[in-house]
Amino acid sequence: MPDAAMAGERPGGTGSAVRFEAVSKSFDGTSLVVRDVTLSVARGEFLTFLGPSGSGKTTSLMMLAGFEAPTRGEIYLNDQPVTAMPPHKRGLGFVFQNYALFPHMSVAENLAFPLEVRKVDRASIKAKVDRALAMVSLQGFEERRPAQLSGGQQQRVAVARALVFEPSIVLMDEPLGALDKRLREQLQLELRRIHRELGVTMIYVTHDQSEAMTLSDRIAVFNQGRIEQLADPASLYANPQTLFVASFIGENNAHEGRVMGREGEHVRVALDAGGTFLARAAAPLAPDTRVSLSVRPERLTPGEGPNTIRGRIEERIFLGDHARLVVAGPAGDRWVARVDPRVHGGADEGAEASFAFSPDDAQALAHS
Amino acid sequence: MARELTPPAIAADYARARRRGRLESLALVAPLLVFIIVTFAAPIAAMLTRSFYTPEFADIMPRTEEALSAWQPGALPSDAVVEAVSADLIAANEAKTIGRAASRFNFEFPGGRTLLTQTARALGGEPARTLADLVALDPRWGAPATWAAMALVAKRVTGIHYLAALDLRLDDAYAIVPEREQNQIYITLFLRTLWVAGLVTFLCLALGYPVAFVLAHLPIKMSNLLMILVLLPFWTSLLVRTTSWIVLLQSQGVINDLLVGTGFIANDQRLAMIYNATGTITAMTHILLPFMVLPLYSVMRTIPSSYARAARSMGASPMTTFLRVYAPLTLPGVGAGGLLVFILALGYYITPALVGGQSGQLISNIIAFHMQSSLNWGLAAALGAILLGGVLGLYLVYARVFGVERMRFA
Repeated sequence: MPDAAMAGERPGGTGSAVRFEAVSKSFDGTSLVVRDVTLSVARGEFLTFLGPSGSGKTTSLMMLAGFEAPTRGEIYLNDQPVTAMPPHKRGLGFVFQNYALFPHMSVAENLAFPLEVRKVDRASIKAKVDRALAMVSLQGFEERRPAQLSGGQQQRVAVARALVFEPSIVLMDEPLGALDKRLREQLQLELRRIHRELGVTMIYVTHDQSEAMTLSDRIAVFNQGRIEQLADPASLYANPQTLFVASFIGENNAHEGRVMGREGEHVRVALDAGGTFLARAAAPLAPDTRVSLSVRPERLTPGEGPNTIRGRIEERIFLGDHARLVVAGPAGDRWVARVDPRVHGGADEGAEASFAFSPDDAQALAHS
Repeated sequence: MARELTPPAIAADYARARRRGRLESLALVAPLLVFIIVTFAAPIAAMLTRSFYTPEFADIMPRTEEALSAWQPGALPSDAVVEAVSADLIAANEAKTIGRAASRFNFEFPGGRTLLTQTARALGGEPARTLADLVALDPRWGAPATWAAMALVAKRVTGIHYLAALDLRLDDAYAIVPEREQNQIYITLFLRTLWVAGLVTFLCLALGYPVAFVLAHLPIKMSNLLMILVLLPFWTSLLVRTTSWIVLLQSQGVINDLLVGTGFIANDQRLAMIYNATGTITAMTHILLPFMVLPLYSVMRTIPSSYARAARSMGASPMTTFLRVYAPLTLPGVGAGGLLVFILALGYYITPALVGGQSGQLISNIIAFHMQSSLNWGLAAALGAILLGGVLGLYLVYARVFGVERMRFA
């Protein structure tokens, strides 16, 4: 399998870098941890497996790396089936959640390890190790032991070690999970830069939706072993296909109701708490289907329109760049609105107010 | 009330807090410390003292000690010396302590017991005046070697036990020479003890490492259950375990019966698996195995599976992963287990005594023999001191190589 050049041009070819075909995994023979996952990752793409713990995202990654075997289905690397291929023959870079830096080796020895097992000659090892360390800005740390490094530095070494042997595909299993928020955000940007510079295919596992948004070309949202939706961050946010995706990604107003009927491009939904609203439907919906109406808080704007909520402002929290309002409707339904604090500075707690949202910003999502 | 926060005041407060902390920890340790000093350290120190300090003979025969204090080997005694020795013999005979002095002399001078007791009895109440008087009682008094040996025994502080423990002796001219060949046993025993302890350690590692590996990679419930099998030897009496090896391995035992019964060996070819070094090594390996498995297990439990996975993902084969990543990470356990087993094996006594036969006896068995049967406590103490010194020396080398601070005992 040809390794991508560290220098950067994206490998050519039309085939996918990674393909899952109807992959399922069961650890106990009864329950499925991964159910019938099918997906395809293009060369050079940054794809994130996003989902809560136990959703099957890490197991899928482990199967791809070869540490677990699929119970059913087949995984392809560069269009080659790899179920029978042991992990060390797959040529994948892997960054572990706890970094897994070898504690008995120095930073340089850790980085040299994948090159030594590939029988790279001594001079090239030195050059490649230096280059990889420069890439993560850790020159001068060669002789340190992992225990002498901070969490962020260890993480950088782990990334450098996964890249030093120039794999064309790099897998990362919640690599930033153990770091504090500031450091996490800083390293997210570094990972983005490295991905762009090297043009490698990256498959990244996280439960942090903002991390997934920051890094990914596309996100696969996992829930209970299934991929709920696989799309780029913007459409995942704007057009969630399922209730789970809508609630997992970003804040969301979700109210239960039923479909009354079609009205042009939209469907009209009658909420259980009262009121009818127009919304888009991700799939054709028959009348009387139980649905949830889903609206992002920032889509609620003060005023009246085709979809209007009237109520009392129950809570107003100033958060710097925006203010978060909780609006209580007449039937006790609660809506969260996110508004510009300068423009809507007058909306005080206890005041009556009305908010509107466009039918295009609302989704009617069927209950599965 | 505001206390000043000047540097001297802070330093004083800090020192007071430190002192109190130290006193507290000392108070917590004190009972055990006293117990160990009284029942363990003090008796061992007293015993080791005997290896170079032997006052028995000099206490019983003080005039002899003084008269022979500057003895030149090869010489024969002056009349004054003869008088001092015979006076001591008469006094000791009357005080009925002559037996102990005679036994002590007998260790260094074969036949010395009868020489002293018979001479003392023959002298009656009248000290000998000249050497000729003594020679008349027993011709051995005329030999310079007799007097050279007695001058050695009369010394309170002496190195002869250490010489004996290393198969050396002082000849008639007080030169250090090798022990007579038929009496050279201790070096052989020390070497055999080292060899057996080393072999047992190696066998424990070879047998224990895979077991610890499997246990450490099982679910904790399962491994706790299986750990019982490893710990079982701990819960049965040492004698029961050793005896069960006798049942298994003796020539009319289970294994030989099975081999003969299935026709693998003929009835007159029964294997000698016990009452020799084989028996000692087999039984000791079994008994000491838990001391190897436990530290290994506890170290392996703490090695995350991601290390091996990381190595595999970077292209290392299972073998390379084991040799370069997993095995080095288990070294603290190997070091601790190896040290425990090796040191325990060096001093092992009961098992070789029961199943060792002739060729399976170790240094501790000969120490016990000198303690209990020959009553040559000085020699026993010297052998014990050499063993102790050897163990300490090995420990220091070992700590250098493995790094004792990295070792994990449990």
